[in-house]
Amino acid sequence: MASAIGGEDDIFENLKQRVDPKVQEERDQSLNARIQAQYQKAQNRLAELLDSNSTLPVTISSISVVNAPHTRKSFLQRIFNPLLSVNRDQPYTLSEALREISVSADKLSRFDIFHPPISLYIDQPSASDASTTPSDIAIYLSVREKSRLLLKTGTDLGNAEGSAYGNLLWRNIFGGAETLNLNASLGTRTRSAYSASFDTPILSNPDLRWEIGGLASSTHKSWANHEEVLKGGSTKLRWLNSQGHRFELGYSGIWRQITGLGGNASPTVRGDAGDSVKSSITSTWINDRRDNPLLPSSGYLMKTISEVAGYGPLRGDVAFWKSELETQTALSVPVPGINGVTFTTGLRAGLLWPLAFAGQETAQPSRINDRFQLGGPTDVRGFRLSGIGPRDGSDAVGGDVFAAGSANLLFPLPMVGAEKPLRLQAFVNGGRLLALKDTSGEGKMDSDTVKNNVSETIRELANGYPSMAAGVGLVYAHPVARFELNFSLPLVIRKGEEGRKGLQLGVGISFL
Amino acid sequence: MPQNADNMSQGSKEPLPSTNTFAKPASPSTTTSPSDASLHSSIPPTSTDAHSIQDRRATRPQESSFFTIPAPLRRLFDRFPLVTYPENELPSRSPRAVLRSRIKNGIKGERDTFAADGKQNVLYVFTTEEEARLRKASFNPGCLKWQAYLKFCNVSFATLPSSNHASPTGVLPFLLPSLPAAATERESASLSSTYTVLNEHLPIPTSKLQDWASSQPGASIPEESNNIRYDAYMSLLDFRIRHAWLYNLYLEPLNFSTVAYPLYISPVSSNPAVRATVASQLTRAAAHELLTHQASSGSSGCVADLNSSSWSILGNNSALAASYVDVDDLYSEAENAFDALEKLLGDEDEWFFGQAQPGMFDASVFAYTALLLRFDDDVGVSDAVEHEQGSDKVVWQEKRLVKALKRRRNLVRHCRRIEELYF
Repeated sequence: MASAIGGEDDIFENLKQRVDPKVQEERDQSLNARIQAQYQKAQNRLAELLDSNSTLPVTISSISVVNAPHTRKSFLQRIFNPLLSVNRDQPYTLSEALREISVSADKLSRFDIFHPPISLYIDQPSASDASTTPSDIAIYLSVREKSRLLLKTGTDLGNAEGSAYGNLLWRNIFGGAETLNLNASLGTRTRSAYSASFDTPILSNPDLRWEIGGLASSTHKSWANHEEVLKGGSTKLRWLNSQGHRFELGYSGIWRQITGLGGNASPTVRGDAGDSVKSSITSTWINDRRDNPLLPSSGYLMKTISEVAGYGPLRGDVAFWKSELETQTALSVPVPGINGVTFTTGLRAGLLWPLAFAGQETAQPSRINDRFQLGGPTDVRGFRLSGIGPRDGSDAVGGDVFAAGSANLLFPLPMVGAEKPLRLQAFVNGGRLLALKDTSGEGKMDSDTVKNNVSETIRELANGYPSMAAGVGLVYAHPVARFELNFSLPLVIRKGEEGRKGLQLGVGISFL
Repeated sequence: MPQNADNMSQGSKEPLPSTNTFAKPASPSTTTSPSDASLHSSIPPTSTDAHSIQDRRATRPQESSFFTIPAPLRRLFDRFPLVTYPENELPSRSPRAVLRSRIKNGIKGERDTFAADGKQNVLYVFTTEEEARLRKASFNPGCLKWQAYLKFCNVSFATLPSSNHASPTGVLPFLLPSLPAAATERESASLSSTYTVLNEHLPIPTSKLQDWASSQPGASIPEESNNIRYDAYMSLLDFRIRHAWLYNLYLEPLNFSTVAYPLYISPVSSNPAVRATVASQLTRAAAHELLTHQASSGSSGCVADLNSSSWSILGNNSALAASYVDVDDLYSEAENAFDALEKLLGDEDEWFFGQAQPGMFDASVFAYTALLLRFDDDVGVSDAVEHEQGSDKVVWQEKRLVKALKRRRNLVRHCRRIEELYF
């Protein structure tokens, strides 16, 4: 590769000459290739070795987790004890043993207390130890603990909101993958928010976790001219089943205040101003089968949230049953010549059913802080934030029943290609948000009236076209959030609803 | 968050063209007692806010002229939306809906008739739904004063139960005037004119209520006396009687649990923890006001006699504030004030200062006398408010102040006359 050597005198000249960068690159490449090949060979050899010995009976005599000084032994024992041969009736074959171990190692990595990757070593205990048998193997898992304290501060900008935050994460507090998360943020819309939550896996199971926390926040709700101050606590149980469905069951008790009303707050908001306590049980089910949550090209998402507040022993100042359903499906559309065209549809619906308190006959109508809001760049595009639904003056006062849907067609950008997370989209979306009809004409309703009112209201959903908008736009799926810049025009609108003609920017993680 | 606590500021919110010659040192130009600011710290007055919103709204129609949209785009925009349906119905808790149902059920005031759905003035006060429906008197002196005054003015209005959070100033009462008749036909109004309507539809805080009332058609504004001692007498009410009232209601533990608790704390929430928080905020705010007043007026030397039962020890870290409320002094000052008012009214006069029609001063006196007598079980048991749970009555347990009042025959007579004529 080097240039031909002309004579002895030239050697020094030659050495002095700077190496041609192209040549250097070639050299590096070949070196890399050689290392790669060696590694490959080693891997193959190992695989062959394991393969030929895969039916070798082995017993696991010990499992050691190395370099985990802050992790509790009892916590690790719960994970690895069942693997030890002492605790098993049947011997392993080598491949079985390795599979089991890697399952447990994977479990270990999901606690988020160790840096990936977790390395696995297998050793044969020394034969001089009288207590060992020839089939014994010892397993060593080498881990590196993540730092236990993590302090983060920063600023966020998104969806017409700017904020500064501080976050303290304390990992592995008692050596059992418990975490304490303290959060404080100050912003333009969420004026202030403080929260603390303690989260721990149950029975060393990363898929079953229990969380308890408290929060205090103050949020400016510009669409209804008020500020909502929250103080409260919650506790929840979260688990992931073997099919990948996520469940959550939680209780929360929150003291809410509607205060700091704007000068032109409507009578509806003024009427709801003041305090209320919500004591509720919430259950959530999520089945996310999308290949990418921010820019899906196939799969579906199903999510339901149900909440019961104030019913029976829950007490509090508000009583209702509230259910929300969200689905999204994505399909790849085969278009000759263009790769990566997808069609996504979304559907959301919700219902708030007023309940009576224990010992009372009549149910109370809902308050503004319990009702749904609809419209905005991340749900029904082409409408202002909370632009759909009942309005009192300039205030979006929310509704008790809603349904919204969208259909989007996404194309990769010409010249850019389908690999980049950048798409052009054309969409049509629409929805309706309705307050519960008051068929009796009185504020208070018994259970029959509620039933009647709800069915009347649901019937009203289908009265006329839903409020709709259509448009085209640009989508960028950043790993953290999805950005959309759309040009849209409202097609159907109710008087008072705030459609948006022209450009609209949306930033979020969940879009309709 | 102080909430009902803020109802304590009513007495000193005097919009009268007063010269404040007799006002306490700390209050002069603002006519607000010093503690008010701190009482309201968490519910900032939003009037400035209101203006900025108003300005923004007002300029909105012109905004389009700054960013001129090209004509073809303009034409395109004008074509959308393709279909416009009538507006969505409001939720049934919305006051407009509540008033509508009240009209439907034919519940009307004795003299007032509802003009139409959502087209009437609404005074937001401390009251219960039931009493608001029956148009009864508010149980808060600050609110009752204005309720009575507006009735004297012959202005028609409905009342709605509310909390301080709803008020633009952080204090009840406030009034939401009816929409101008022409503007209520929003069907014909374009979006921009809806905004102008909303701009006019701003709530009226206490300080502007009197001006507002005089601008109402058909209102007969009572003439205010220009008696040279008017302000002096008013300050008797705003300070001596008001402070005795505050102590009597919030700091007498017996009265607090039988009167203040069911009226101001139970309605806030059914949750015991929230109630306890609010109760302690309320008593602390009351104590703070009394103590700061005592300290600033210097009327009572802080010669503490810790053994005397009439000294309540109220811990307070404010350097301004005194440490004790001198209860005997408080009550005897109130008695003196009652005496002065009794003499002022005299045996002959119907109304204060010999006016032909009751006015602001009568309303201010009535606000305290009516409420003191209302929760007294000896006089007119039927008047006693039903406790929200039903059986037990809201009555004073510690009757020192109400007994002092009942000895003043003229004041009692004055109160009864207003009740008969106007409530």
